[in-house]
Amino acid sequence: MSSCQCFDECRIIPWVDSPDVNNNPLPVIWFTGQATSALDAGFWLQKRDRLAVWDSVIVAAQTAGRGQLRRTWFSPPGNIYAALRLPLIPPFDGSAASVATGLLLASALHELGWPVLLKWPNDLVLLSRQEGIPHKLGGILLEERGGVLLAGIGINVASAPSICVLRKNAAMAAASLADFVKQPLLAEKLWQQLVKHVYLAYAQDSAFIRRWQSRAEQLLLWRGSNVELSEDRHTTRGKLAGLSPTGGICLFTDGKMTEFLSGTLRRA
Amino acid sequence: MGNKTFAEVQDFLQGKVILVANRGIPARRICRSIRERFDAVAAMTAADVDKTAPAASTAQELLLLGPEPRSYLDIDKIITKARQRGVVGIHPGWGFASEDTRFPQRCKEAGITFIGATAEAMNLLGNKVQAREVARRLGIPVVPGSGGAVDIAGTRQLIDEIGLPVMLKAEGGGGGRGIFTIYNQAELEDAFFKASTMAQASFGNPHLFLEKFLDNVRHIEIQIIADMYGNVFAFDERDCTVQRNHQKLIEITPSHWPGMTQNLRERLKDYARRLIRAVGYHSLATVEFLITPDGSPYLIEVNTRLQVEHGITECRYGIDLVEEQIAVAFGAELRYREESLRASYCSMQVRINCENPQNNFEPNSGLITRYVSPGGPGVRLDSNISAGYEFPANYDSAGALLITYAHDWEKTLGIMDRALSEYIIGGIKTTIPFFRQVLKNSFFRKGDINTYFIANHPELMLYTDLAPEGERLARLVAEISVKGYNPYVQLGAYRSATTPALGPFEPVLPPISSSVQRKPSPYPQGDRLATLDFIRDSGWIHFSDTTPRDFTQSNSGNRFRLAEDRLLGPYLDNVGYFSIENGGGAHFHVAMMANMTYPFSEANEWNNFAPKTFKQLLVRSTNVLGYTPQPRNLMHKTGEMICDCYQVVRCFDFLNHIENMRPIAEVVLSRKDVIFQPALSMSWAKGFDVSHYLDVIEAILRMISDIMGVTSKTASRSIILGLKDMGGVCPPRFMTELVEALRKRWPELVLHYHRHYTDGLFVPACGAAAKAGAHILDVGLGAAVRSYGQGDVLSTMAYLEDELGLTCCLNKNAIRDANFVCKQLMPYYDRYCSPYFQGIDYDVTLHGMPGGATSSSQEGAMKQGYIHLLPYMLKFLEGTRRIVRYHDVTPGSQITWNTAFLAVTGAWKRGGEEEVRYLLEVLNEATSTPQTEFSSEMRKACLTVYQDCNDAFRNLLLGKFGKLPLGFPADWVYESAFGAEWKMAVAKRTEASPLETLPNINMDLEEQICTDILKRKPNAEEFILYLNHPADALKAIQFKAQYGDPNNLPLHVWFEGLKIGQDLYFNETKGKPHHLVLLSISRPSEMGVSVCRYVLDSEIMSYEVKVSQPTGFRVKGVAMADPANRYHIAAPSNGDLWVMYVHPGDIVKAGEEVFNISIMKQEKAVLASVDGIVKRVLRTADFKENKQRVSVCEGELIVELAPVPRLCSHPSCGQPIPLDNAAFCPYCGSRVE
Repeated sequence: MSSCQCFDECRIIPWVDSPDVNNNPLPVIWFTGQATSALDAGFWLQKRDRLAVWDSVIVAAQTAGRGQLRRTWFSPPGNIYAALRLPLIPPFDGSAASVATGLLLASALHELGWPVLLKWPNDLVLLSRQEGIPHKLGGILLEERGGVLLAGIGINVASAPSICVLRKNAAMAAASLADFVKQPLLAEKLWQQLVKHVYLAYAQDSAFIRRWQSRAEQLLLWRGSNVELSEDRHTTRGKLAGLSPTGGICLFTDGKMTEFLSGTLRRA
Repeated sequence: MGNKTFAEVQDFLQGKVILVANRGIPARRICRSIRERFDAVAAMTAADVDKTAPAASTAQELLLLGPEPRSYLDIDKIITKARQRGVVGIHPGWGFASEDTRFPQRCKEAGITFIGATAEAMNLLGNKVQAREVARRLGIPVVPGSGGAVDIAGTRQLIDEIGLPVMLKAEGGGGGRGIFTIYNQAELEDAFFKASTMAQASFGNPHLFLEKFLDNVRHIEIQIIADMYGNVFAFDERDCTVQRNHQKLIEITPSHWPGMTQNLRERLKDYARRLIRAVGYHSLATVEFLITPDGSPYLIEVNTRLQVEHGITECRYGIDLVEEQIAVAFGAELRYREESLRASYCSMQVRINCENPQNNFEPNSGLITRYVSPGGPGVRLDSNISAGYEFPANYDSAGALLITYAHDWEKTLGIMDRALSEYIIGGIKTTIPFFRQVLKNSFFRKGDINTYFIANHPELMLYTDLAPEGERLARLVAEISVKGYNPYVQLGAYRSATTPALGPFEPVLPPISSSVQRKPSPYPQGDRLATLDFIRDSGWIHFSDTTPRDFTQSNSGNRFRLAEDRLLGPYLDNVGYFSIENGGGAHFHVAMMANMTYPFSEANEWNNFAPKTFKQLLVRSTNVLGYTPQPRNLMHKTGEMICDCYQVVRCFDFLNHIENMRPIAEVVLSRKDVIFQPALSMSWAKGFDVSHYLDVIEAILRMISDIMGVTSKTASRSIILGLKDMGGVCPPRFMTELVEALRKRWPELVLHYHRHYTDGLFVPACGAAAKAGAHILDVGLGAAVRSYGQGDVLSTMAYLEDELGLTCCLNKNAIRDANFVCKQLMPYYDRYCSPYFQGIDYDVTLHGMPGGATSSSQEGAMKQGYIHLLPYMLKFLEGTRRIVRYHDVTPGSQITWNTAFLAVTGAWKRGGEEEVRYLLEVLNEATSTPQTEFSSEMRKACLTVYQDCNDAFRNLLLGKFGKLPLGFPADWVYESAFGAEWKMAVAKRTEASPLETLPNINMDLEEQICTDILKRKPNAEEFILYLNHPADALKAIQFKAQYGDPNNLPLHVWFEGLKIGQDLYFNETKGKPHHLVLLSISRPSEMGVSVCRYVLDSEIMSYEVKVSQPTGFRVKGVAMADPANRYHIAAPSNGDLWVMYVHPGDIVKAGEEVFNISIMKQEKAVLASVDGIVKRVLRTADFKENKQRVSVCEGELIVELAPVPRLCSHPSCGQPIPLDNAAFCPYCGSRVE
């Protein structure tokens, strides 16, 4: 492989799980040390035809981890920073991709025993066991370039940014899985499990394209509650009714249902 | 000191500012009262969208609230601004913040008089639970239910007590929102959750209370006004029973319900007064009751504000409630006294909402294109609309309140009906046509209704909402004028607006003398046997005129309109023809498709303006009036309508498969007044000889005698036999031979000869047939004779009379007059509709293309770029006619032509002209050699002949159209057409009529489908049209709804439109005359739209016509990228542009990221697809810098590139050179070559 500025490519190693029950090969996961960002590493691999659909790369730490609109993503070692290639077919070929990806990861975490909900569009939110208070566990950012769609996935496994590090007006505090368990968890190990669940949940559900919406609604945080959706200086209040087929959020406001495609959601 | 008087309040308010914190109708209404008597300054709040709305014109001042359309709810902002302006009083109107208890509170704090109830009174009476409590204390009956807010468990318990059904209502609700009816226990939980959610979302209060649902009730309310001194006045009731989903639509005072007795009225007024007095209320209020059929009232709620329907009370009493409300608010003593204020009038109000009742009352917004308000005695109109107003989507759909009043109810209804008919709101759908339906309803008029009246009478929704026909036709004229051509005649852009026009069609119509008009037709009417006897015994030659149908079908592509038929028909009717062929064939379809005329309506008109002569129609056996076989029940149904409109029905089958005619024969023969004319399809070719045709006619007579249950001889006396030479190919000598043989075999059979002019031998052939004994000949007007239709009547007559010594009895002067009229209109048809190729084509005797198909098929070859292959195609036609034997008339002619076209072009694509010549050699060999004698090379070669054929040809070979007249062709034809599956094809062949296998269609289902599409039941004719040609029938029906009857427009306007300044006088269908002048046609906008302005009957109107594709690809002010232009970089989806990486002048390389769009946490990098220099950046963003995103829509042009002129030739550089005149590369500095 040619040299790369985003990470030390000599340290990148592939890992392939044993095939599933139907003897279908599972996606490849690439591991590497520190990188500028998992998305950069993902696009670098893809350009070299090493990242097929559902293959992923996980990096140990990010020097320039990015969130939405190039916001900084707090990226110390110990957490999951991964890029997962998605197929550019429905529901991933349009605006529903964000929610559908969030659904797959939230369901995967559920199956592993974590009470994770989806905060629209695709923040992973962990409810504290006793009070049920939501904490942001992770986020997903989709980037599409040149017909390739990658999901950048950050999940707080070992540590979470403290409240003072979070951006002003953040909708909720952050938490990590380590806050809830005594045994330390390995990010790479968890990622392997997550990818397997994500992939099988998609591959073994021929009706995913029809069902994602209702399944995502079941995991939707604050569904049926009063919320406020703010964007720039505009704020809309309403009752969170559900999702639209395009992945937008439907608020019941002023006696009518309105669909929104952008904004930050808060509990009203 | 005494109570304050009205005059004192007037003095106080003079010159002071009173603010209406509202918009639209209420704001305008209240401003009027502020100005009328108080001489105060009427100010009105206005969000940006309302700054220039019609209502705003009534205010003397506007208090601007800024861009947020919902700021009418922002009490703090309104009060702050009001204080700054020195406002002394605020009227909240209705809706918005009018029932917000904080409003009077804040006004009080700010020292401004709130013109309405106090906060305390609102709390006591405006809250439904509280109001019920007060009522209960006073002994006023309330609907059984919970005293206060309930939960699910409480609801269950109450249901056990009072029984189902019950209603869940929002504690803070109103206006019919948030009400859920529960009919069974199972619905309870779901309904409770929904109602609570909606209550919270709508009113900010999730609490619900429960009421018994009362069935079959009326909604009656009492208007009250009270002052600060304990004076209370209760007005007569308003009946608001006409509601939809608890939203009032019509209000009436007094109630015209017979159960509304004076006793009940007084009781309701008494309840209302006591309720108001009990809480020390002062201002306007409305106490609402439900009344059961036995006259028991139940209080439901009290509205502590001015109501939408207050106007009818004002009209009943001749007062101004708003004026009194203002005075009372400023401390005046109420001027109304029971002893002095008397009700004098009946009054009703309809709410003119911008909604489409037929689409579930869906609100619509948009430009009001036309506005004519009603007026006259007894009409009051409170509106918020005007012509040119863009009705906004942000608010409710209330457009106007139309009130009428009179001394009695019937007059009030009469005025309302008249006012609604005067009221024109163009451009958007309104409730006007719906109310006209309601007003017609007898239950409504009698007052025999309940609150479910609208829901229980779906027939109220069945109406057609059409602008007056004159207005619609004017739009059609505008469209044709702007385009320069008429798109509906479907002849392409045959001219433009700047093409010199033929000019006005102002026909000179010679008078028809009354003696001629009075002269009856010589033909016995209404009895076909008598008619046939007359023809047989007359000793003359008889004629049918085909000018309106086959003549112009062949020569003008069927575009001859009913409008011109109306001119020509009366002359033809006086000629003395046996019949006028005015319908059927392709004309039936084209009348609908291109002339936008219903064919059966057209026939009925013919029977009116040309009543003396029989009208004749052509049916294509199983295809009836279409192009594919129709099932038997459809043939019957269509046949019945045909027999109602035509007196002679000619029916042919291109295979002469007689059984295909049976269903039509059955219908026609069942009618004594209609003549059946089975027609022999004729070609002139080997095998199609006299004895063959005699066999066919024998079969025809067999079928007739079978249907009629008579002998073959009687059958031959009961019909006319048509001899139909569609191509015009049979020479005179053959006609002599055939007709002589026919006359000999069936001496009493009346013969009607039809042929075309194509071979040039029309007159001698007709002469030969007539001489040999044919009774009737098809002819037409000389002025319309062109190449492919029939020949001229006068020259044919001259030949028969002068050369052959036969007798003809036509009125030649009438023919001359008809010719004169026809001469004047033909130039328009010749210019815009005449065939592409013209002139006699004697070779038709070889290629056999009939009538207009001679030209149109060849035109197709030319337009598809195959003119050089045309001689080969004609040769192929000549050959294939000798292999697969049938008659070249619809649909056979289309099959033959397509087979030839596909074979020749297929060969040409395979191996050029050499291959085509080879194909024709093979074909020639195949026609002259039996298959058994084929050489081995020929056995292989012949397979190419039909290898390119289409399914229609294959179906023909399989017998799916019917039995081939000379039997199935040789096996090699099947091998060629079907390839490897040929044996299976041969095995599947059938000689049965397609009717035997075609299942009947389900008429009820089809009618339902048609009704669903039209949103009304089709009439009998529309349904037949729909069954025969579904798509084109719908097009014609929709055209008629959109534009009216285009036959009301003169010929030149139909084809050319009008020029600016040119006058047009036309009548609409009902005879109402109109005058139209075009004022201007604007240059097309970037959207490709021209605006045509015109005066219709002294009213200036405009109509937008799309004349071209958008030039700048702008959609609603947004520049759209041209998808075909690689230098246009578009937004890939709707979303937010958040980073732009390039600036004008930058060079980008293919694959480079230019900008990024974010939608729902998905970021899409948009890459350049070509190298280029950035010419324009239309939208830009830099979120990191300024935290601003720019929303963009899918397809919007974001960056425009231009080609990079040159690349640096230095081997290590290769950068693009941005400037044409640069001598050095700006990147590496090397000299640019």
